[in-house]
Amino acid sequence: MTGQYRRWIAREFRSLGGRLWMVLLAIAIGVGAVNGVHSLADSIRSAIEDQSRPLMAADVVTQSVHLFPQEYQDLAGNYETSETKEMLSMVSNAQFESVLAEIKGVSSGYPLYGDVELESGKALSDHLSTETVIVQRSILKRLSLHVGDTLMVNGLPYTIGDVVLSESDRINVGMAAGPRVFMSTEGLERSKLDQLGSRITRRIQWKVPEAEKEALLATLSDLEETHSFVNTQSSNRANPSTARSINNSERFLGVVALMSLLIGTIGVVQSLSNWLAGRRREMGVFRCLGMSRREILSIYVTVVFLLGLGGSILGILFSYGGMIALLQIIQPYIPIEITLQASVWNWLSALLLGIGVAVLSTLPSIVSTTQIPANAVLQEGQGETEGLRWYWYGLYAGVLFATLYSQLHNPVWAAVALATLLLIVGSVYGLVYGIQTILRQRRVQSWTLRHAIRNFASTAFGLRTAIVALTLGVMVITSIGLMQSSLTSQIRDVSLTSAPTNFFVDIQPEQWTETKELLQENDIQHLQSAPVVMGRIAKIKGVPVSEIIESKPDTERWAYTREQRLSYDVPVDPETVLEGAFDQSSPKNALCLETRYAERLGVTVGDSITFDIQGIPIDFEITATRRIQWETMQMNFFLVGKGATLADAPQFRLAAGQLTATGEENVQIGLAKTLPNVTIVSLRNVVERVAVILESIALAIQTMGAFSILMGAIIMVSSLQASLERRRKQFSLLSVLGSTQREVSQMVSTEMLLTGAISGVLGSGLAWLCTWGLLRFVFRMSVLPSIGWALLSAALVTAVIAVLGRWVRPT
Amino acid sequence: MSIPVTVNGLSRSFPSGETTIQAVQDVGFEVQQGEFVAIVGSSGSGKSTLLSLLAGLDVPNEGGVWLLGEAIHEMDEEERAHFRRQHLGFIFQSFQLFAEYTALENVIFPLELQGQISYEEAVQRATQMLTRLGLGERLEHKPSKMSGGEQQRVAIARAFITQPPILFADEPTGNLDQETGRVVENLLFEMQRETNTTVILVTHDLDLAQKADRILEMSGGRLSERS
Repeated sequence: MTGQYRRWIAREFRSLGGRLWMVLLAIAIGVGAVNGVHSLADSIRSAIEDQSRPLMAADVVTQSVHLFPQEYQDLAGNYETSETKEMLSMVSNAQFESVLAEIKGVSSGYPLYGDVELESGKALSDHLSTETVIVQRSILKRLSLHVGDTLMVNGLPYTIGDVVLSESDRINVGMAAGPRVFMSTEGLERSKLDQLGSRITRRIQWKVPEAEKEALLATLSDLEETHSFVNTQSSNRANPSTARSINNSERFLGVVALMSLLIGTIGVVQSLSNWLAGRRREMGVFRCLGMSRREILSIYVTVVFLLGLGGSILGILFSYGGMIALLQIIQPYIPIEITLQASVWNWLSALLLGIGVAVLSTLPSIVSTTQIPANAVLQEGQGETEGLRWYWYGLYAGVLFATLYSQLHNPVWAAVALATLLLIVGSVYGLVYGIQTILRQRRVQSWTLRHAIRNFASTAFGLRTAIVALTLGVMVITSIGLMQSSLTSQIRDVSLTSAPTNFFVDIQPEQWTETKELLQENDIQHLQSAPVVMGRIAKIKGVPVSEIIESKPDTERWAYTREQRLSYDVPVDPETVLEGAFDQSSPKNALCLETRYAERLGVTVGDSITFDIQGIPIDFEITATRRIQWETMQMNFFLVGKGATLADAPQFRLAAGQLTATGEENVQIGLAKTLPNVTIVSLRNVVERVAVILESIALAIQTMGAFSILMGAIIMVSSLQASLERRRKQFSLLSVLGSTQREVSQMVSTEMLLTGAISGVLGSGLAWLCTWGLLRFVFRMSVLPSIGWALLSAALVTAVIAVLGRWVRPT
Repeated sequence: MSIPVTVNGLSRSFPSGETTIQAVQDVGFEVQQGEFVAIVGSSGSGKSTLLSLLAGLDVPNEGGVWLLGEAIHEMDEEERAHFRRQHLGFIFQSFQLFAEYTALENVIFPLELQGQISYEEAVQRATQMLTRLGLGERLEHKPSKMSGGEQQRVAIARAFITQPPILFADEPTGNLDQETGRVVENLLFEMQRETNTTVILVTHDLDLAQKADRILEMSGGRLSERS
């Protein structure tokens, strides 16, 4: 860059004067909002993941019912991993009294996160060896054993080393079939339970730094292409209760970041366009004195580039400063520790985004302004520039697509978002044009009102563009507010206040009364129970399962061949029934299926399923499919049949309820004394952890929503103020011609009232529609956004803009 | 040595709705080295359009303009911009100074554009020029802090700083009061004589035009010599 070039650029900066800070601030707020949203989202996601990791004892878990292929073993060698194998097996004492237990063979290092709490207070690895096992207390009671005694597993003796009280990654208790027995991998190998054909769930738990997690997930996903029987879970999908909320909060934060970027871009374009419009005369003189268009273009592009750079740096500083302050304020109210995540990659992305948005969004304006003819300084009226050429619109669309893609990481979604955005901008522009045309034809007596309406309806001053920008801004801000409100209420609706802290498995029918009494004596709350009949699917629509699974891949066979738990006498809420009906009027062998399970089996209402229950085939007719809210953590069943059909089948009872810690201890002792076969499983830690996560997500969404709304409002107000600044000359002229300050203020207020009312009503209306669409199609929620909030937003925007109009005074 | 300005069969029209306005019609004349020519005419007579065509700010529909022997009507926009920066000077009615530049920076600008001398040399030359025009104490002042007369003197300095062979002036005293106008007028003639610059001045001020070597009159887009 030559010295003269540097000097010209420096002088252009000087020409910005006080506006320099306004432009920098607009860029800084846009970039700051995006960077802030990303940083805070990363921080919150990381904090939530910290809470979620113990729920699966890892960052990533791969699961398979077959042996893991060698590629997985090789890959595991590059990371810190642990391995577990889970299966059902009978265990017995020396007298061959036996009980069905859930065996879990664990390698050293397990659990990578969370705890397995032992009665002795020691670590799991301290007690596990080739010769030892750790068991749940109910096994000791049922088999009359003590710590140090021998437990027979597959006929081989193991010394009981300790008693397990809880394990953080045992979530799927509803499906538990028996008390837990922990073994070391070597111990499990010695038992020879891990044989060809054994039904074993194998897992590899991976501990991986956050920066490498995506790469690992991508590698595992590639491996899944070849080995479809393996599936992968990452820690933020650990639990159905949190998975949906985390998914939605991530989507929300993504949408907020995108919308903040849109607001920032509107602010940047408005500020820079106003400045460029003010430089038209200078550009004309440049051209006349012999500066070429290319030279003018390169000067202004460099200036905007530097503004983008400066604004972005300022924005990054703002965002971190703001985030630190924000976290200090909200931390006391958040049940988890949030550490601000700052990465060089985020900074570079923010810089690139700020510069890119500043340069690319103003490039068409710069090009358009530099088209000013060289003779404009000599001849009034010759200074009009041509409109943008068609390819600039193409470039605009390309830039928008790239920006949307950078946030959504999906070309189809980016294209849909772009099409929606263009549709919205087109509609808003058309509506504003229509309103302006109608207003232009109105005849009013008062000259101030007439002038205000004429100004509002004028195509000069870029008011139409300003109204469109303002409407979009209002739409974005209101959408964030409406979405935040709907999402937090959805999360808080998943009340865990009635979620069971304990499950009771394997209660024999004749033991239920006694069990119930014991539980009630210990003040159990929200007690629920259901009979469970075990069976296997024999035929679907008359076709034997053995024939069906021939054409099915390994991953799908499990759904057909596994042992199923059927229940009956379980209330089926008609509101959860999606198809058909399940009530007393249903046929004798009616069956209600969970909808996704029905889809997996390829059946629907009216189809038949034959179950093999203890060797007896029983035909059922599917009369209903229903949705189950797994996130409530209540006791739920995929299959619910009519009582009359299943009442006589061999069965046991499953119960669940809320106990206090003392109550849990008392029930454990009581069961051990009188009902030793009943296994009690504690979910206390899981429930508490999930409750913390859900509360944190709700708070995160509210915080981010409020932050983005505030930033957006500042940008909108400053951009409107900039647009009014351009009008000062006109106000001054009116003043010179004899208008009083009051009349000018009245005129401006009327004009701003019109602007505010139209932007507010249109923006809020569109926001309601957009939020409805996003909730329905992106967040998969069937709730309606609040009409009250949308109306309040419209009224608020109208009032704020009308008040803002009173600030403008002729100079 | 080529004739500084040669105009031949120059015409320029503009579309206006369904009709066409013929702003300049078949204009032809020559201006000799060091000659001071005034073009007069009523408002809307086509003087400014003619000036735009002569200075290469616009292109004719027909005919041509040769400046210093070069056919500027055949040049593209980029070439005309380079020709202007190297060979032409301009003075405008409303001064057209850069509002955010100091007086010194405004005068330096054409030298920077030419890029033939160092910045220090340009500063020195501009300082001398402004001092010569009585603005030695106002070097660092911005136009908004100067009177109309001072601003036009800065504009004169900017026009002459590159010692252009041809200078175009558009109503240079139009925005000034009579007394200040005379001062600026005298400066303009004085500088022109000193540098032997060829000047084409557009004005409706007949008193000013009378001081020129030759007066051409525009009327309805046509040019005639006024005796």
